[in-house]
Amino acid sequence: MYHILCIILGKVIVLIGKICKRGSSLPGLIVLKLDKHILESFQLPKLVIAVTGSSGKGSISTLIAKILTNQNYTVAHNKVGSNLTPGIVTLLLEHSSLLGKIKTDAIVYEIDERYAKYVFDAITPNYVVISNISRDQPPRQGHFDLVFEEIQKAITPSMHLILNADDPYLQKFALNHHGPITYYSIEKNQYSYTKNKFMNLNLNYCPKCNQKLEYNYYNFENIGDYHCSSCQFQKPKADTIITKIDYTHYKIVIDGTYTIELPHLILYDVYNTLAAFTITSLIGLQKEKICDTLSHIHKNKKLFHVFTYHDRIVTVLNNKNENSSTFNQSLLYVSRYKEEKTIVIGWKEISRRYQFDDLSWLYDIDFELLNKLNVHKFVCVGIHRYDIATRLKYAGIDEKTITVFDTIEESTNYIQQKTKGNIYAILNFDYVEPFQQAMKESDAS
Amino acid sequence: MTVHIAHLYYDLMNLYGESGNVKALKMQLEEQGVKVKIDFLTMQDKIHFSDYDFIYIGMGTEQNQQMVLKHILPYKKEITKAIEQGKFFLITGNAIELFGKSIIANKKMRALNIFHFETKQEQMRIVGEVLATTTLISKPIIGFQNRSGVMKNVKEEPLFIIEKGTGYAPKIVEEGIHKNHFYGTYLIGPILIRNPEFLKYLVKQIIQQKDSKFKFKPFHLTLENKAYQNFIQKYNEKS
Repeated sequence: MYHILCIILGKVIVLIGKICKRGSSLPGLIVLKLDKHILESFQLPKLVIAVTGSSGKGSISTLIAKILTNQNYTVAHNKVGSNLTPGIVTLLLEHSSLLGKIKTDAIVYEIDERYAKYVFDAITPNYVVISNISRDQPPRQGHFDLVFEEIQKAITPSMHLILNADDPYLQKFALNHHGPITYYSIEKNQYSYTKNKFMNLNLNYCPKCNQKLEYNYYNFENIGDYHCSSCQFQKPKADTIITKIDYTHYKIVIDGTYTIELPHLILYDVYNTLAAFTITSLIGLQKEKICDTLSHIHKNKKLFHVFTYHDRIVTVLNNKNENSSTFNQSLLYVSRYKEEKTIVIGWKEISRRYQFDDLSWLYDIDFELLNKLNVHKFVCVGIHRYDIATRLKYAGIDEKTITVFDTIEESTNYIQQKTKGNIYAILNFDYVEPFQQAMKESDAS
Repeated sequence: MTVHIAHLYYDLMNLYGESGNVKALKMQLEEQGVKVKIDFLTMQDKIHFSDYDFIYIGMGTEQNQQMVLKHILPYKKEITKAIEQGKFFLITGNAIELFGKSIIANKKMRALNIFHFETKQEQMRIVGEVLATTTLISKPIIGFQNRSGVMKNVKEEPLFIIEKGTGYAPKIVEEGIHKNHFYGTYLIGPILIRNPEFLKYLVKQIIQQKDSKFKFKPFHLTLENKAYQNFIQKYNEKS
């Protein structure tokens, strides 16, 4: 009875929150204070999909929710950011009856990699997509092995895992898992390479026998076609495969048949899209319709944006500070373009969560990829401009081509007046909008 | 003059930007006109400590540290000899734990037993900015910690005295191990780049050990110094 009272109260708070247009986690937070076992009071629909991992969980879960909705499912889905326990409770309150029965056909939720263990027990997913485990927020997370252990605690054999076959680190889940697993993969393509380009990989040794891993090709960092130099461990056979990537026409082809138009050109977008395709086709949705939905999703301006300034193409690449993989993907992307260019790197603050000046992750990023490119100027901007400039220097970049600015406005003035070529802005998400605004405003005037 | 550097376990002890330290040494030694040869060595390799002037090991995950521990144990005699002879060792993050008596994690593991201390890896992590002093240079050392290890029975001379942050154990101001040219610290990442004075000090020591009359050119560390000053300025504003 107490549970039901809490749910009713929770729903009232959700309603008030909606009227006042206020925060998403607060109702959950209040109800959890009153009843810490509230999660157990909800009756779930037949389909529950959870998405976790270091990056991409927000995008993947959003794609899955959209695909389901377009194929006539009603879906409860948490918005990006509300991915801790209170956010999940709020989501359930929003979609439940007064007795706690979830009224939608499906729940699709993204869950913080450290909170899965608190939520999976009660809101047990049938399917779990684990996008990746990368170097991410070391002061908060410690490191990737600890994140792996946290997620592992939440996984039970009843859960069907959806994993990237190309990522050997995720195989650590497979080695322990007694339930079903479905894999996806990007086949060797024109952008694959055979000599490792990245110095600081998370896994160089076989998770089964500790011998060195060998690669037939790489798609990125340690993602590719791997096998152990000693035991039978190797990349598993994938169930869904991207057989063609055509970056020039913004298209990918899955299993030789299904074409998806991609708004984004970065590898993580391709993998996120593939993950969403894999899980939704696995549960029996129509593949043509899935492709249709994925192709029509509007460009997420915040994630990635291309525009022109006079006759110069400006490409804004969104990154996460303290996550070297996102920067490495941007650098790999930029390194494909051979024309004269200006490169901008910067952020407002390292983290919204804490005030530490941990800059070690800057040296996990292979800025060395930039040092043979045709770059007119490197522009370092923001609070750590000298740390960024120093990092570029030790990547072998000529100090004379590096300039530093305190603010976005100073940097964009300089970029517009003193630099040449197309502009690639490799920014933390907190500088993406200010940079675009500053560039576009002066273009309009 | 050629300086031989061994970056040991580069593919396992590579957790927090560890590769920056070797990059810093290479560039600054080369700017002084010194040739630098770096060998990246790991599990498949035999290590000849006597071949090198400078040994570097960085921080790794606890699991990788255990792999490395097994591999490095047979080298105890050679490493001890190298330290006694005054060869340079820069050891950052939890790599320093390899040099103590033992490491207690889920089990107790024998370590190199070159120094007295023992390490216990706790469930919590010690995370945060560090400001410290050292007798080697006049300017304070800046850096970051992110570790699970806590030391006890430390009898060696510390490398740093902590002003902000945590020493070898909570509430202890001593941090790191300094013996001859062995420089070991729990600080992570590119500490040489973030501390240009310390980088200069080490580069000078390395060269002078080979040629005491070497004429140094001016060091070009403008960007590094600006980054350092920015940190100090922010640190003062915060405290």
